[in-house]
Amino acid sequence: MKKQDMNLLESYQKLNKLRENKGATGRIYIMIFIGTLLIASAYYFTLFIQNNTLKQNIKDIENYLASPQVVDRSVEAERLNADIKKLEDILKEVQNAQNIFDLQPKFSSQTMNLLLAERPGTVRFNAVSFTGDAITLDISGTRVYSVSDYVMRLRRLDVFQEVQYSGYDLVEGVYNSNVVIILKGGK
Amino acid sequence: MSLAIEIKNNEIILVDAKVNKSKVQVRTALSFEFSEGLINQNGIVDTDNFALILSQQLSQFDKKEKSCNVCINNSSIIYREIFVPKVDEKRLPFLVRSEMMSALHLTPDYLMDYIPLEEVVKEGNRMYRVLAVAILESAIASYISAFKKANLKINTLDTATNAIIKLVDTFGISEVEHQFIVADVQKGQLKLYLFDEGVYVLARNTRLSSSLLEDTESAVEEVVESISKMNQYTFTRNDKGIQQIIYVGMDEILGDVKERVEQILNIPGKILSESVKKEGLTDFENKHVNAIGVLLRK
Repeated sequence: MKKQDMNLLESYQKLNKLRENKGATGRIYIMIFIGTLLIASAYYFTLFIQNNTLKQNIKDIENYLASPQVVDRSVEAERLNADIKKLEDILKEVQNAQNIFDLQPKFSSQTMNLLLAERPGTVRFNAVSFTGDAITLDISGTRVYSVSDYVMRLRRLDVFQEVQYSGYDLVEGVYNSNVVIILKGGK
Repeated sequence: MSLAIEIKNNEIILVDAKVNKSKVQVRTALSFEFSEGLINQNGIVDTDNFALILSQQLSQFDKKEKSCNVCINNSSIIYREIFVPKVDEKRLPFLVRSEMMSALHLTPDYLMDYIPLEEVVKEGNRMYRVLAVAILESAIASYISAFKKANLKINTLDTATNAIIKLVDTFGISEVEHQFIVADVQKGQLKLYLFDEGVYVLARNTRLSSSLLEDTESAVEEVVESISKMNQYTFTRNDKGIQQIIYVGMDEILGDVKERVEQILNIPGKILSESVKKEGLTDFENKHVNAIGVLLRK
């Protein structure tokens, strides 16, 4: 045992030191609490000020928005927006119509050149007519196979929707026939 | 040089002595009385008055020391021998405090201190037998305050029983192998300290109804009776009996008491001052025993 002697003064001093330490710890906790309270209060105050400022700004904005000039401008803007929307609708309709036009079969010089290019030397055009999406060729061939050969060439091109051929009439050694070509729509 | 002050209920003993490990040389000593109501279990009742009395006596004492060792030997201190389990020394103060509070129904206002007396095995458990003391915190504060007012700094606050234990231990009395009593015969009080094989066992405090100075014969009879009771008590512990009594206290009466006890109880005795001179305790009066004991620090 290390302890061999008594000293009540030492016990008294130890107790007081312990109390002082406890007091110091308590004071530290109180200081931390007060510090935290002050910081929280300052933060709360800042937020309170900011909140009030924001409320004032909102009120100013609301007043501004409620002023007759702004209301008139707003109504005007709404009207313009409605007009813009209408114009946009019209534009859309026009674009749709344009697309439809683009898709419609067209008889052009390009088609005519193609018909001429494929025509054998033994076939002659008597008349060409165009109605809707159909081209009607009134043609005459000098040989028995001339018309059918021409029809076959046109079908092989695969540029027409349909090439209708229903035979020929032999008149005075010439083979007459009507070939109806149905055009394909565009893409 | 060291100053020791013993504070009794109505008396103060001042001893200025040179102390080293094995030698105590008393330079000067002084004792004076004061009214008994000045000290009670709450310590010094009137610190200003006490400080004034102390200052006056110190000025006569021709003492330049500004610090002192105090021995409390009055009703403000409570003693108890207790058993506590043998635990880590750091936990002992708490155990002693709990045990004292429980045993004596003390409030938390009390301060405790202790010294271990011996290690024993009790019901198969290793325990310490401890001498514990308790004193009101306010009492200690009153001592500190009074001494401060008297321009004295307290180095240690010790107790009379511990002083006797240290004295017995330091001056070789503890080497005696038998069971003996240290009898502190004071003016109106008798304190009997029982030692067995050098180890402190217990103390009994008796207030004497007769004054040792005014009615010496009756008072001596009371002392003899108390010693007889203590002697009988020791037979409940062992059959050794009291083999010796060492007398301390009032020098004027110790010879008579010793002689009477030897006659009636047939227990040999010796007066401490006569037996310790060769042990290195010089210029010593028996009533200085507690003050000297306080100066012996371990």
